[in-house]
Amino acid sequence: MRDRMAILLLPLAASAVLPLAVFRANRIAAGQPHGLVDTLGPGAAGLALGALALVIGALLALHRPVLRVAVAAGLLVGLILLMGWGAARLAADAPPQARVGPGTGFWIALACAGLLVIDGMTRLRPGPALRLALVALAVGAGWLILGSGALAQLSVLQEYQNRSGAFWREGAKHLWLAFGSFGVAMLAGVPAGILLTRLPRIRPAVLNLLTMVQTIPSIALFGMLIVPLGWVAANLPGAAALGIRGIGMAPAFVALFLYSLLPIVANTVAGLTGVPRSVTEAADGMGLTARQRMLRVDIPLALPVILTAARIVLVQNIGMATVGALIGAGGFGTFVFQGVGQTATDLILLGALPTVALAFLTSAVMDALIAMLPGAAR
Amino acid sequence: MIRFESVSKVYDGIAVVDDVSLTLERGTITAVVGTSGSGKSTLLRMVNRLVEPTAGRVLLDGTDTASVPAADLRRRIGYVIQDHGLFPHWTAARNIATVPGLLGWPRAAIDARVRELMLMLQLDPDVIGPRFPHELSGGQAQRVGVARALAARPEVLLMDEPFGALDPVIRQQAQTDLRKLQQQLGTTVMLVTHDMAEAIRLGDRIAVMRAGRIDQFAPPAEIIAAPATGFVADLLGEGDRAFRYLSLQPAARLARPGAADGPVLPADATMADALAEMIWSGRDRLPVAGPDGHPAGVCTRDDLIRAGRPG
Amino acid sequence: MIRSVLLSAVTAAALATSAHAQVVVSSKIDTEGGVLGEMIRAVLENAGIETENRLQLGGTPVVRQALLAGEIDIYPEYTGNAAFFFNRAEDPLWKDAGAAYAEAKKLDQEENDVVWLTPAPANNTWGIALRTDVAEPAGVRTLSDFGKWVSDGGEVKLAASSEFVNSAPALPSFQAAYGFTLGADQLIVLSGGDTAATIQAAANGTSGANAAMVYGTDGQIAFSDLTVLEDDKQVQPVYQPAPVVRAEVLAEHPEIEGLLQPVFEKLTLETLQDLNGKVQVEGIPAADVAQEFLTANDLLN
Ligand SMILES: Nc1ncnc2c1ncn2[C@@H]1O[C@H](COP(=O)(O)OP(=O)(O)OP(=O)(O)O)[C@@H](O)[C@H]1O
Ligand SMILES: [Mg+2]
Repeated sequence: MRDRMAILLLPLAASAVLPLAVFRANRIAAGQPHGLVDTLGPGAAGLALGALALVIGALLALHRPVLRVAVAAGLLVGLILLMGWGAARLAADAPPQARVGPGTGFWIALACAGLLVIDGMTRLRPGPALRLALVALAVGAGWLILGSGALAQLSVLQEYQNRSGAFWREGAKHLWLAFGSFGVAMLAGVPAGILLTRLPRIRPAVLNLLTMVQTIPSIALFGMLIVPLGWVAANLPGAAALGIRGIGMAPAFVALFLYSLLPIVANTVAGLTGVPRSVTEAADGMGLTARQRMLRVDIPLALPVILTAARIVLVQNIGMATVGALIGAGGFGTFVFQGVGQTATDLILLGALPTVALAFLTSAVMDALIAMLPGAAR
Repeated sequence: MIRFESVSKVYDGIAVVDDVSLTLERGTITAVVGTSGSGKSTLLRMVNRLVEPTAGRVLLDGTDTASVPAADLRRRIGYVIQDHGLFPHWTAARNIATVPGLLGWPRAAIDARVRELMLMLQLDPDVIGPRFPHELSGGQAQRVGVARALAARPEVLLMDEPFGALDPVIRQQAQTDLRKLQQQLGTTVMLVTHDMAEAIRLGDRIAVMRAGRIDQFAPPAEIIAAPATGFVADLLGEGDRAFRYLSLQPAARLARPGAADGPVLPADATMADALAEMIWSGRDRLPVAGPDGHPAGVCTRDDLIRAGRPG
Repeated sequence: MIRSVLLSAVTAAALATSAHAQVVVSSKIDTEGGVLGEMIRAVLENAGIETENRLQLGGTPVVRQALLAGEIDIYPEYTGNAAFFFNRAEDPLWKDAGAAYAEAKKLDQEENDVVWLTPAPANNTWGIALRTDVAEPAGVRTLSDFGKWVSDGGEVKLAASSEFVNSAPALPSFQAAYGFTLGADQLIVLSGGDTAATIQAAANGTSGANAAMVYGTDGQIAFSDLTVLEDDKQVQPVYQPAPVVRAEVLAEHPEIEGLLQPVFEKLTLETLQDLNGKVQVEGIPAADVAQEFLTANDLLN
């Protein structure tokens, strides 16, 4: 087991001789790689190398997963802080439009540290409550590091500082898009699923229709909704006042809602039909009314399956909401597409990184919640 | 008292229960036996209206069950099924508390009742109570299922192959426990089984079903002594009849004054037990214990063999 | 429950109507859209006209649809695009700046009640840029100069996308009009390459490149010491940026026309390159770049 991960120590060691940072004269110029010594200066580079040797030694010597995870997590945080410090050093005597970003060495070392943490975690098998706590810890640590300004000279954060107001504004829109459409889809999809379990005859037709919606490429669906929603806004009294428009939030919201329906409806049906017959029979025989059975037995038992759909939908929505920027819905995609237009990689990252982080966090939290359901070992 | 009056159930033009009239006396166990698909479960499920009769009516203590709202009716009737049907997301204790909860009993009364039932069924409330069904053995789950059915002190208990999933040793224990429990509580029990031995062992009366009809409804001894149809006789099994008959009668009944060597036969042993003991220990006379546990007389082989033939 | 829904609907309606009294300023999602849009917004706000910010809304079809649907009120558009809006891409008229603007203005006014305001004297179309250190000594300023120079044996190596090299209205039509031919050894074809890549190649002299396919107002040009060669024979359709505004809104705020005219008149090719470059290359927010330009040119107040 340990040997499998020891293979990671090789690239980790090798990363020290690869470029730690990439310096660019401006945000879209070609980058010049800078090695460890170049970036940190001889003194700090020596210290960093010593620390890296210590870490590798510790990982070879330590066997308890807890300790290995702690060392790897320390390596992860240390690397990031080191990168921030190096970036500040390189940027110190460069003109303001110059940019410093991470180099291949950093990325490789980061990937190794990340994999070591993940491997240790899977081996530790933390319970759901501990997992939630660890997620909170990671978020807190990230918040502290970003808030401390230690990384302020990194190119992505330079992009952030140039548009911090817009970042949070678009972030809020992104959350509203992803979670709002998810919420409405749950409100519509779960009852629809319940209904379909009682109407087995129309079930295949409805599920096939929703599957078809799912296969429409997102940008096409977003575009397809502009015309009908514009029509509704123009012709249905009060619709425009409620924020229904052909462009902007409404079509993106509706598109994400439509995409969300299939997993939610299908899993609700699967969850409900998966309740063992003996259990429903017993519930009826005990004298639970139809409503009581639904609320106390059927839905709780289907819940893990429904929540699995919720997790899928949330992650899917968080990713797909980026495309909404193309039809004026805003969200983190705004930075991605502006960045593409400007060929500014850092701006693309400013949109992409929070999206990925958000999806990852949501997935981890949902996983933990599902595992916390009573009788979850079923 | 449960009374079926010309009850039928028709599915797709086929009467799976066909004009059945039957009266189950209060405080007795009625075993319904028959081959698979003969309509036993359907008949049982018409009592608590999980199945509505196509024709006829079912009376519970003189009241037509159709006149009572189904949910209310079911809360007054205990129901035990083969796969126990425990709610997997609730602990054993919460499962047992289901019907009292539905009836709105006060919390304390429910807790006390759950404890009482668990002790009655030899389940440690502190150990088993907080466990989820997937953490229970088959026998424990079955007993939790029985406790749940009895929780609200129903006068009627419906059991559909309640011991079907248990291994033979535990099954026998469960049968003995049920008999004791029933005597203690005075519950009217309707029990479906396809095991004739179980029916004979537990039933005060046995209803033999075939293709939706009752072939015979009589006490076990009468069923054995005089099977009404070839089907009933087949169910009994030709070779086993004498032993089944012996197993219904207490050996103490044959005790006559005298003495014999060897271990004493317990007071509650049946004649079948006595014969088996004679064969196994090579004796032809056994001392039989009286109610106080001391030898009260002897039982002889000749007496036993005579007693194994009805009439 | 129903009452609270109704109530919130009414509040939303009230908000929406009050919001619509504002002029909704929009733009396309690209860099220049951001810069021009911010300028329009700053000028209107400065003149006391309340605006709603819907800048960098999306691609051309999205923004255009939004304008026609009345969801936005004003945004910068390119004259050449009118050829596509009115299905007249084949018409040679679009290659003449004045005629193209007049036609776009006329068609949009008649069909859509949309008014084209004064355009900028800049043409953001497909073109060729030469390294300034090559162009200046050789005296090459226009594509006619370039054609002659190349034919006379001028050493050129053009970085371009394969689309530019192969599609008829692009390089082939330049070669036909200006009488030059580039051989395979004079071309660096970056398949799927965009202008960022071609400009970088020419600026860095990658593989000997000294010329690049560009869009006229590309922000990188100013930072790369490249000279965009004038399309003096008007081979390409002209893409002049101009504010387009819904007539209804213009009637309500007729001063908009006079407010924006001096601003757009100042936006030459080089100025736009410079402003776009500040956003794209230096990473300065478009709003700041617009504000700085307007202040420096005394266009506010
Ligand atoms: N809901 C239903 N719809 C149609 N047919 C049914 C239904 N329920 C039961 N049946 C049929 O009625 C017949 C009797 O079924 P029932 O369940 O009462 O048999 P059983 O005697 O309990 O059999 P087993 O010992 O196998 O449990 C069977 O042929 C069965 O297929
Ligand atoms: Mg059955």
